[in-house]
Amino acid sequence: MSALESRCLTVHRGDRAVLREVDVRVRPGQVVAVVGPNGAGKSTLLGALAGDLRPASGAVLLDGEPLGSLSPRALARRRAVMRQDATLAFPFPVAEVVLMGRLPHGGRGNAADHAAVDAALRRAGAAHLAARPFPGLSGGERQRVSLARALAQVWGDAPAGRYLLLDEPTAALDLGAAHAALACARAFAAAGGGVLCVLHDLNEAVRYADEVVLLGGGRRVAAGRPGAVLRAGVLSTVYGVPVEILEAAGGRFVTVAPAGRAEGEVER
Amino acid sequence: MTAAALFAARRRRHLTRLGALGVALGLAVIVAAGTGAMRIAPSTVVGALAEAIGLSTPWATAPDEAAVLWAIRLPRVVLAALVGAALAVTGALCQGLFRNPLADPGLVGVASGAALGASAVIVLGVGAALPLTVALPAAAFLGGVLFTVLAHRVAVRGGRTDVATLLLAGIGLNAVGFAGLGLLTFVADDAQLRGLTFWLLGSLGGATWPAVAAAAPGLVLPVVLAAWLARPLDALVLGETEAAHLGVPVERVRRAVVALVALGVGAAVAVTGTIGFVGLVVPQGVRLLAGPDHRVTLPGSALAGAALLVGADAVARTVAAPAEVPVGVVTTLIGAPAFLTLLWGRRS
Repeated sequence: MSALESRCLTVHRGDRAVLREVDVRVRPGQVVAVVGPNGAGKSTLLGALAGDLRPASGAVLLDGEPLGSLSPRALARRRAVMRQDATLAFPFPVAEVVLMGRLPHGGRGNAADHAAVDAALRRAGAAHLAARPFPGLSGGERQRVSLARALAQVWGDAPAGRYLLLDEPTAALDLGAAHAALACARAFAAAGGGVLCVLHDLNEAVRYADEVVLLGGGRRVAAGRPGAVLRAGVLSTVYGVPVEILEAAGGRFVTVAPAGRAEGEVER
Repeated sequence: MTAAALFAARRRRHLTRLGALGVALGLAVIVAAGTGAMRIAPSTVVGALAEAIGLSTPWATAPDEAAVLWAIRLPRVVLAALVGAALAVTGALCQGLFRNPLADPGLVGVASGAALGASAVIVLGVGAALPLTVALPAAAFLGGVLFTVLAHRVAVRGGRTDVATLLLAGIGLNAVGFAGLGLLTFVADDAQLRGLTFWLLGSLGGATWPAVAAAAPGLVLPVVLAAWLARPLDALVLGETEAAHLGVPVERVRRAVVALVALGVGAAVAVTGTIGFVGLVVPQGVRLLAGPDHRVTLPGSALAGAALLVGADAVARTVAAPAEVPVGVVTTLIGAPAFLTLLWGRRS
């Protein structure tokens, strides 16, 4: 079946298991958010699903095939990864950076590649940056360009059955840009792609994700629809702060309870 | 501006800059071939070269001019061009692999390994059964390859080359090479010391057609094969993990770069001694001139490195004629100010 999934995935860093027996599944058309406190294993999970890290046990499957059985290039045609803190050793202009996303498809710079670059820059809200040198950009601008590069890789012609892995794509973005980036991920899913997205802001997960995977201490604590997973009790336990769910304007919002409202609260 | 227009403009820019570097190399060859104890007019040089490929020109070559050109000048000019191209391209490959514009083939230990091999021949008489013109380049090449292989072995863990460890292993091996050279300098007699010093500073004085032919495969192969690494190295600029995400077989690229650097620098040092600075600064200059894409940096470095060494060697053999200044000193004296000027021009 079509999915990017981990089955009973355990990943070690050195001798330590940083991910234990985690099951995650992203299907085409879905946005799955991975949330959890710092050190919960979110980026490790993303790295394992990207094929960077080898499972100590369990498996990562792309449409039923183990990642290890695919060539780097075959894998690159079907999934793109956007990590945090993109840096560049040499001053390439933005359009060239995005064109690198076309590398697994040949990337010789033909008309189809150019069209894909234009579309990706537009979708990521970075069209105005095309001619600028990448190292001169702000953190937020770099993040948009990195998103554009990932989009150019998997959203050239047919996004259907391709996957986008995003590690905190909104970390350096302002309110409007964060909304635009996640709306872009939703549009990719609507076009038939699958998205797995590590998020820190739980309210972004509530608003944009079809499913949420909550990690804590390297284990999957809960998974399912955002409304079912993001509950005050479990979040308070996992994050170690008193959490409240507010309902307003027809939506649900996660917030830390003001001091004095909850018992057993954690300082700071 | 659409991506298509932007890429078209960049491509035009790349081609004009490569064209300019090609013209610079052509001029350097013509002037260098005409420069020396017997001056030969540029038109005569062009006439002789055209005649060799079957074109007739109004510029005739006198027999003595032809003899000097074909027996003395041209082998030296060709060797300078090949060595310059190989040193500059391997420098560009190293900078791409290490993602650092200050990287240099010397970092992986190849140059000091080659120098140590050659010094052993000069001072200790290693391989004395062979003629010096064979033993010296052979020992230099083997020393360079041996040190590079050692550095690479130290840096491989679980089938993957750790680039930071490769760098540190290179530093360690360079220290070994330096200590070995120091020891050999200490035990050498005066004549050996002079030979050693001259060889360490680099010279193209040994250029003959057989020497050119022997070194050519090792010098040309890295320059040609580098073309296949241009796009993977562009992707590596994003980072090794990102390049892997783009489907680049990163480990294969790393091994290919190390192999080409060992081959190119090993062959260059074997025929000319150590000529510093070309591998470090030529790619930087080309990047400032034409941009960072390896599709232009690699061929541009080949042309610029060849032009630089051809010009530097012409200066080396004429400024103090009939004596020769070591060419490595000249490359540094020509290249360093040019590089600083480029940096200065970029401040605004």
